[in-house]
Formats: sequence, structure tokens, C-alpha cells
Amino acid sequence: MTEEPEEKHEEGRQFLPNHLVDEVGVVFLITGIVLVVASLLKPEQAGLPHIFFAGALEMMSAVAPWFATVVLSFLIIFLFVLPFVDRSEERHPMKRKVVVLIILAAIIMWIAFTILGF
Amino acid sequence: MEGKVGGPASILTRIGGIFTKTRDWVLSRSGLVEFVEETEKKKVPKHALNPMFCLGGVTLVALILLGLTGLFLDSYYEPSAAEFTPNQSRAAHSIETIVDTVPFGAYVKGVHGWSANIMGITILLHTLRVFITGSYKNPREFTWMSGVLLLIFTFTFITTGYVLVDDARSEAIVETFSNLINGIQNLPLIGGALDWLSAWVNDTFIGSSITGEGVLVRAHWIHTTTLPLITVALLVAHFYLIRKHGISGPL
Ligand code: HEM
Repeated sequence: MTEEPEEKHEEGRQFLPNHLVDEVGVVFLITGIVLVVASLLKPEQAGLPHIFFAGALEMMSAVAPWFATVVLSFLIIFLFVLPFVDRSEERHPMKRKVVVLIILAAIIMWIAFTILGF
Repeated sequence: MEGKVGGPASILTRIGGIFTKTRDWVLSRSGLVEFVEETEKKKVPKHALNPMFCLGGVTLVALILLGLTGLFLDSYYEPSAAEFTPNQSRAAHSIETIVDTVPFGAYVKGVHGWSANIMGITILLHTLRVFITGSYKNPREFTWMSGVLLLIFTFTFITTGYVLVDDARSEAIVETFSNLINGIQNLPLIGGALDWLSAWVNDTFIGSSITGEGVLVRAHWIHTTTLPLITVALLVAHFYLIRKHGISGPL
């Protein structure tokens, strides 16, 4: 079994009550934003599947469907096993160039297909 | 400031006293003393005060809003593809009723829809933060893996949710899903051996050979029963692991 790496420790902020009070404040703020947005806009507008699905839809029509299946399955499996693929103790992105490049390529591909599909 | 007897400060002190006593009583009766004592000792590291580290929390807030509004919506929703009028299904009609006649229905549906969009965005950003800070590494592998499952199930939630609306957009989504599944059969080399898989998924979740209303009934069951149960179980694991390992250190 591998040892857990040492982590640097630093001065922190008391969780109770200071941090908790701020957290609760943020929770109310976010809830408030959602409630205001929802009351200003019609519910039908909440359906913006384009944000999430335009890329996938475009990819299916641009390439052979089996290819899209392969790419998407690869990404999901890759994410799932990432901790076992990238086993070094380095956490800084510049010192993990290969995995960072793979994820960057996936993000660029997704953005590109989304723009094409809009 | 020490107040005179009966002055405002002494009233505050008394209210404070009542609060402390009530708190101690609740803690002793509920057996939460140790939990709170342990939490009182916890410190949040400075680097984790960065807003990037609060995206998981925002995702949780959106999820809670979704659960509450979803309970309300589901008491009116009817997962039926049968015709209400020639160009409207019973499902689409039940949604129209929620929006037009149920008190606060339009508002609750709006909160449900917007929270879903917010959650979809913040969960991606949370994943990105964890990826950038390399926080999936030893000892947090399971935290990350429970997260990836949460990511998959969140998007299954979003997909099935759109299907329930039963309009043109739902059709587009079902078609995309169906294409993805059919893609399996056309895989080079192994496709032929896997065509039973795409046939089974298509029949069960989309096609009409098992029930006439496959898509809506299954999507509704997945969206309101299966996914909530799985998601809550995964969240318990996620938060247990986060508390166990603490937040990852600065880069
Ligand atoms: C329903 C969805 C999710 C919720 C509510 C959630 C919630 C949280 C919260 C509150 C934290 C504490 C730190 C922070 O907020 O940044 C956290 C940490 C973490 N999450 Fe999530 N998360 C979710 C999904 C995910 C996903 C999709 C992944 C990865 C694919 C993930 C991986 C992690 C990891 C590895 C940590 C530990 C990070 C560290 O120690 O720096 N989570 N999560």
C-alpha cells in the first residue's frame, strides 16, 4: 500500500461559528438568486438543453455515431480511472502535462461542437 | 460593555444564556456532543476560502432546491404518452396544468428548471477545480470516483427531466440517445457481438416492443425513484470521504 503524501498545513479559519455563518449567508444568496431569476423569467426559458446537448447532437451528425459513442465512452472511463492513470504525487497542473492536455482537448472539442451546433 | 441591571446588554446576555442552555440540551439528548466538539476544533485552511472551493457547496444547494421543487411537481405530473388532444399528450397537458392553474406552479417549475441548469454548470466547474488542483490523488481516489458517478447521474437526471416535458426538444434528446446506443452496433470489430445490448436498451427504454409508452414511463421512473436513491447514497459517501480526508492542501 502506498503511504498518504504529507500535506502542507497552514493557519486556518475557525469553522464554528465564523465560517459556518458565512457559508449560510452564501447559501441564502444563491437560493435568492435562483428564486429571483425564476420569478423574472418564464419556466419555458429554463429549458436550455443547448448549453449541455448541442455539442453532443452536433457531434452525432458530424461524425459516424459509433465514433461519437467511442469518444464519449472513452472520456467517461478515462475520468473514472484518472487517479490510477495519473499516479504521481505531483498536483501542479504544469507538472501533469499529459492528463491536462487530454482534458484540455476534450474541453476544446466540446466547446467547438457546441458552437457549431448552436 | 457591562450593562446595568435591566439594561439592553443584560437582556442580550439573558437571551444568550437561553440559547446556550437550549443548545446544550439538544446536543446532550441527541448524542451529537462529540460531533459538535470535533467540528469546533476544525479549521478551514486559507487556500480553501477561494470561491473555486465553494462550487461543490453550490451544487449541493441547487440539488436541494431540485429535490424540494421536484416533490411538488411530481404530485401533479402524469407520465402518460396517451393523447389528451390530438396534438398534446397527457404528460404535456399535466405540465400545462401545473403552469397555468396550480397555485405557484409556474414559479416552482421555474425554480426546478433553473436550478437544474445551475447544477449542470456548477458540477462541471467543480470537477474542473478538483482536476486542476490535482485533488483526485492519493488518498482521495474514492472521493473522485464517487464524484464521477455523481456527474454521470446528474446528466442522466437532466436528460430524463427534459424527456418528461414531452415536447419537440424531448424527441431530439431521445433520438440522440437512441443514436448513441445504436452506435454500439456499428463499432468496428466488436459491434456485431454487441447488437443485443443496443437492442435491449432500445426496447426497454425507448422502443415500443415492451410497452407502448416506454420512454415516458421509464424516464419518469428513473428520474423520480432510481436516480434520487442512487444520488443520495453517493452523496453520503462523497461527504463522508471529504470529512475523513479533509480538503486537499495548497498546490
Ligand atoms: C452532486 C454533485 C456534487 C456535490 C454536491 C459535491 C460536493 C462537494 C463538496 C461540498 C466538496 C468540498 C470542497 C468543494 O466544494 O470544492 C467536494 C469535494 C470534492 N469533490 Fe465533489 N461534489 C459533487 C460532484 C463531484 C464530482 C462530479 C467530482 C469529480 C468528478 C467530485 C470530486 C470531488 C473531490 C475529489 C473532492 C475533494 C477535493 C479536495 O479535497 O480538494 N465531486 N465535493
